[in-house]
Amino acid sequence: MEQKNLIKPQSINHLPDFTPVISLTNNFSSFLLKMRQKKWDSWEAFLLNFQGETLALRQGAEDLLVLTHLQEYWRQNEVIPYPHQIETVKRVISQMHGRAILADEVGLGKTIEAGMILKEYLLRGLVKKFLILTPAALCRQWEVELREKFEIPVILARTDYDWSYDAVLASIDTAKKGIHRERIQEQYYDLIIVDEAHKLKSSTTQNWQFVNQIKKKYFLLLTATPLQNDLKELFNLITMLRPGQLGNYRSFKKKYMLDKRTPQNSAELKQLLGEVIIRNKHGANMGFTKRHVHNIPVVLSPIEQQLYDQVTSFIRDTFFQGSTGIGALPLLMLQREICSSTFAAVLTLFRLAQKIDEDQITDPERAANLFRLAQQVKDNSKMKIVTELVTKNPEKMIIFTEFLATQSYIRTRLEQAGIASLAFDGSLSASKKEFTKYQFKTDPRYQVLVCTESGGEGINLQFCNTMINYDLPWNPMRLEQRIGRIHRLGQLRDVYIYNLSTCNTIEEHLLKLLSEKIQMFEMVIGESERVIGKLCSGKSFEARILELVISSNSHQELQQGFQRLGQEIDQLLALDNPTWEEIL
Amino acid sequence: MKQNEAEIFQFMAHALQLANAPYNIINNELIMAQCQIQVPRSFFTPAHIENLNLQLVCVPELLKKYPGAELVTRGSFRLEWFIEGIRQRGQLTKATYPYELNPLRTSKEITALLDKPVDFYFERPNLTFQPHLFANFHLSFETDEKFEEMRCLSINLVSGEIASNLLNALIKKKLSPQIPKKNTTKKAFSYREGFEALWNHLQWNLKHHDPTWITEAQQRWEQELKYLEAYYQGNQTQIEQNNFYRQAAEIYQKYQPAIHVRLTNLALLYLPLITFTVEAHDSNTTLPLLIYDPVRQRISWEKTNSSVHFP
Repeated sequence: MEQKNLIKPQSINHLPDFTPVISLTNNFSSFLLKMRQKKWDSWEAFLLNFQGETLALRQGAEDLLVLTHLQEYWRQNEVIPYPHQIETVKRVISQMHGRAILADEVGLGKTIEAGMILKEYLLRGLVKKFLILTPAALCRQWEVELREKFEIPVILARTDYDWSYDAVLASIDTAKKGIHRERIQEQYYDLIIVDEAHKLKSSTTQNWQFVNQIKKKYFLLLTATPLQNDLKELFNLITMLRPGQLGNYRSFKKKYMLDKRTPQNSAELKQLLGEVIIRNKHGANMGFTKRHVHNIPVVLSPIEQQLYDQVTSFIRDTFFQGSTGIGALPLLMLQREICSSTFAAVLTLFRLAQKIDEDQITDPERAANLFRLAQQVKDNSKMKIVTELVTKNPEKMIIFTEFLATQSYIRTRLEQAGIASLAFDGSLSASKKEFTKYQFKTDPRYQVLVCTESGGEGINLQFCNTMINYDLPWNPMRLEQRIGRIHRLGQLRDVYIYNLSTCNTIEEHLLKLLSEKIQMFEMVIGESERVIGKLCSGKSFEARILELVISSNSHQELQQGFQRLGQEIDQLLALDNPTWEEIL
Repeated sequence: MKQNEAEIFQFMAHALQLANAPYNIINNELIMAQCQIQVPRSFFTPAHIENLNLQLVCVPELLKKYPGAELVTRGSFRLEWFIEGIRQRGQLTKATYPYELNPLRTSKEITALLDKPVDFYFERPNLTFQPHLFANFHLSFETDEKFEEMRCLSINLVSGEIASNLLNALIKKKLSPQIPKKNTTKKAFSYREGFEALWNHLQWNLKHHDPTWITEAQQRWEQELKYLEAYYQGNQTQIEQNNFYRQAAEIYQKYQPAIHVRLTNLALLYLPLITFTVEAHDSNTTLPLLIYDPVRQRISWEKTNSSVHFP
């Protein structure tokens, strides 16, 4: 490493004192007082006390205390630590000295690993004060997991006073706010854990700077995607963890980056990354159960088909009439809604129809007509199949949809069929979500949980093994997240996934693409990340789909467009050029 | 049963015995016990007492033989539970090493300890009990890693002699809780002075402890600092320099070595000391007092200014 221009501040030029500070942590006077009070115990008690202290001695970093300490508790609560998790904990503690990025692929138990590391440090007495930062939606889940799996009670910080506690969990958005930020930064933490750490990928963001400023001894960053778009993101993450591990950005760029997406000197870079990153990948021995996927084609009723075709044509025409004032995003939304259900689309159509007065669209009557047509649709063909599936199968099920309106419709129809269901969406508070999850798990009356994507993010529902995709998200990553709710470590039974796709719509082609080309449903959860990563190198996957929709004048053209996209995917996957997988 | 398994098994049995908890040992493999636990006041006022039935084994293979039993190993929750309970006991003890003076038997004990034939006559023996202060210290050696040790030191409150291995000589002895009514020597040092002497001795010892753990931590610190310097290489702005100082201080805080000492328990023990007046076979020689310490199995001669012959 070059040494010129090296900053060597005065205090670092001479070695700081490494003579150990010796301190007596308790006071002889308290013993003296007991002597005066004649609180004598027996000689046998004295010896047993000494023997107990000797048996409790911590000897070194070789054996994990967490495994023996919680063995009985885990046996009773059916918690099984997997070999890769134990190995990760050992490496973080003995080789990485408590500073690491846990970058396991989705579903391999990063939270469990972090919990084990935290518990191990607590048992060794090396951590007393710790702070866990997570996205707001995951706070409650962390709190429950730490309490139920590791017997670690934490305070969920909301007020200024909460920061004075030793065991604190907080959403990163709360923590970085004014007064909270100051309180956190004036303290020294033995351990900081940051979940979903890919949100700290840019060093110019408030999040990155806030976490970087916290004084800490041990530091864990959890993310399944340490590298998404740019090698600089990875550099920023590692710099926060261990500044200088990859040198400074100038030297890193020169030595290890061919361009922002292509690494060079991969072997050397991999070795450096291996000192701070642990990435367990899916493999045959990871303990996943089988996945059974059933694609169910749904034929739309004539009026549904008519509405779908007219809305699609409306979207295409509106998009090409450049000066409409309607951007691509609402149109994309409308197209996704009409694929989900007519009830999801009706509200958007109503809003568009209201804009007639503002003269924002060139054919004002058209939106209003579509709205009127949508109002005539009283039932969706998909729902008949869902009711049949739920009635025939006594297992608890999760139905996923992208839209609140569809969620509401599904629940109403289930209720009419005498099936009790629970709703799970982004509007629920964290505690309400946790309660709903508990209710669904324990109350036999509720057979179905109807869940939107934002509601289900990060929630673990592996006690349930059946899932219905009422509609398909256009972003394969979101589909992967859905499946990951039930198909993860800890799932003891085979998993059943039912995909509903309406014939003669985008869904039909999309499902074909996802299942045949990307092989989304065949892969073990997490593997598809790699494929999607390659695919989404330029435009987002959703944008590619919309492009296809608006550029196709007929169903045949749409079909041909999807075929072309499929061929492109084949070519991408066949390319054997250096990828990020070589370094992670 | 392996040695450490047997040690844990015995420890739990002794702890149950000390707590007067009803227990039963089956085949020297399983402990069945009933303990009373106090549910904290935060839940019940006054605190609620509940019975806890325990079935404990220390060998993993025995879990199959005794279904429903709990495995107790080093570091397990249940062992920590026992240890935490026993920490409330035995913090302070006062006892006497019983010794009955029998001149003939005592002279035989002394003779056995001498490495050459006795060339003096045993005359008048005198038994005294001297107060000793024993202190057990829990030592925690911390950097970014940690290991722990127990250390037991004792001081004779009459002579001021400090010993570090005396507990080993007493560990298997049955001591009496009664304090001798007579023959106790008055202490020359107060308890506080005695403790100060032990603390100073311990600190001196720790300063001469094997420094490998410090050297290793220092090497890890140097490595971290090297990386940090590489990161800030060429960055001369004041903000960057401040960041460098801050992070360097943070790293030092992580690796800085410290020894935390906790006084776990104290004992005031009265230990016997016998002084014999002796007369040399050769009547022209005057001999000093012979001092016999039956605990350490050690003999010595009283130090005197006069010119005397030591056999």
